Amino acid sequence: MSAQVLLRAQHLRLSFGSLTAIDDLSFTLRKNEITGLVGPEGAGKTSVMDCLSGLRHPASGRIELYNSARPLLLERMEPFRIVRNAGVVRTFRDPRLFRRMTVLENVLLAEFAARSIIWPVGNLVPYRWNRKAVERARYWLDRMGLSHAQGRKAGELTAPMQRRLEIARAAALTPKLLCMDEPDIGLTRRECDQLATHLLELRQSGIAVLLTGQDTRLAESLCDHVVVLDRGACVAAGKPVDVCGRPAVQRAWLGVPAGHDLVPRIFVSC
Amino acid sequence: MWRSMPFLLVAAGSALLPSAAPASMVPAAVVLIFIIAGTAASLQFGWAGLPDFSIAAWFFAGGWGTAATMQVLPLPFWACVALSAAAITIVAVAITSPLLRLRSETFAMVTLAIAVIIPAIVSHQTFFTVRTVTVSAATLAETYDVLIAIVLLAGALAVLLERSPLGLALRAGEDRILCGSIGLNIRRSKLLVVAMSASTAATAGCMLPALQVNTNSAFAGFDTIAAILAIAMIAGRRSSAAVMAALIIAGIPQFVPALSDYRLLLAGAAIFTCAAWRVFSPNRGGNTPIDSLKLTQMMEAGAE
Repeated sequence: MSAQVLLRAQHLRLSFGSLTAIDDLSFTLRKNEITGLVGPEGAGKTSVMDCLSGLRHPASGRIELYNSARPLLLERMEPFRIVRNAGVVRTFRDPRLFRRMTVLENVLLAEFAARSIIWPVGNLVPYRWNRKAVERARYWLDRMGLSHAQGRKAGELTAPMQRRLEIARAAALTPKLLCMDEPDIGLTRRECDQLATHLLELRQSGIAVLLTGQDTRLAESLCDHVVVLDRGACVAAGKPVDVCGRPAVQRAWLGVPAGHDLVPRIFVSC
Repeated sequence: MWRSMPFLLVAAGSALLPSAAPASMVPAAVVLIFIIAGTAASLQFGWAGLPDFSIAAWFFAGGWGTAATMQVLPLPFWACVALSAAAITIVAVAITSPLLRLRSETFAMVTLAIAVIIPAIVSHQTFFTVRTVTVSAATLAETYDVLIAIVLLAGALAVLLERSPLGLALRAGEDRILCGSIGLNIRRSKLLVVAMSASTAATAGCMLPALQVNTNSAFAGFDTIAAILAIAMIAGRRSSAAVMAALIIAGIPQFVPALSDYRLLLAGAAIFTCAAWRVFSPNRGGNTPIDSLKLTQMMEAGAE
């Protein structure tokens, strides 16, 4: 039996001048699933992420989130409302952190933002006095293996640690859907395995994950469902084992024209 | 704790001053008002990154509003102060709220215009003339005590902001995309700071009639704007520096009248020195090159 639908994107279109970034794209994300949005460089993966998180508004199409009695329409919502009201949180291709703040402060800020306690004047009290928030932040840091670095400035961390901190901060927002833009970029095989373990843990705790990537390895090992993009359009969708062997997918990745051998496009053009 | 020391020292000094030199109470009160306005401006400029010159207008409007309310309504002085401060805070928030969408340089220009236009309109209108307010000696003494209390309150606010969720949000405000991606409505946080600083400045201004200071547009003129700007520029996020700057910039013309003509020169020199220090200082926060200790820590972390 298929899992419940969490998000449905229908006929999304986005252009930058004459360049079409997303071309009539439709896909569905389900609760408690890890979905991969894969494709070569320039396929439109980050543009889809931007549309889901409200950083860009699609020219046409709908993005419906089914988390309450009435579906929420995300395509015209402001980014902070998408996080607060819809529970859709994203991470960035290059980890984006508050670099001058400590590791603990980065996660604490997400804690406060998630619980909307920045607005009331009563919250001028020092944040360390809010023991529950500090405990919750430490819990996520502990789960991501960063508790030893909580007093260090985020900008001083190594790349894998910054990635883990970004995930801890996103998880502290208690999202329904976590969108991760190429989380494996710049990581070694071992670090990718650790990342996969963390993502599986998040799925177990009820968070649906959408991750983008150029490499099918992470998608094949981790995803329940894969959507393959090429030039902004969906060329295949389904389970990773079914999808990765399809000719359309190989063409998208390797640039092989129909009826030709599997030779990468770069060699063909040479 | 040391951050609150300048506020505590000023409050203690001000409390002792009337018994030592009763004639200096009014000049000291004016300096206290500048400390409050300077702290309010540094909250906005240093924390929210808003170069808000309109504080001078709210400051002036507070004084005029109290005098006008006393003339129109048969209410005691303190009720008029409360009414005037509340009304001006609401007006300030209503006017500043849409301006928060602007870029900071445009915001600065628009608020500078507000700081010049509001006092000019209020002073030159002919529909309602405000007479000089007379208050009793007891009220003058009370006003002085209330000003000391507001200085302490402004200090507490500035110190609390350093470690509060609101302070964290304001520090994060430099990266709007990231703020949005964690569900932080940074405009709302900035509006809260605007409300806090406008109400502080307006309340300080409301005390002006009791000090028999002329609430004419000259008081909220270029001198006052420049003085508040200089205090905010020097202070940045360091509220204790706002106290020191206000003591020098506002205190010199009050206590050494011969030097009052040089106040603007002093303010300009202070702004220039401060800007130069920020550019050439070897320790500039995030742009500091990684030192060997940090590099070792990073390598150790990488080895894990």
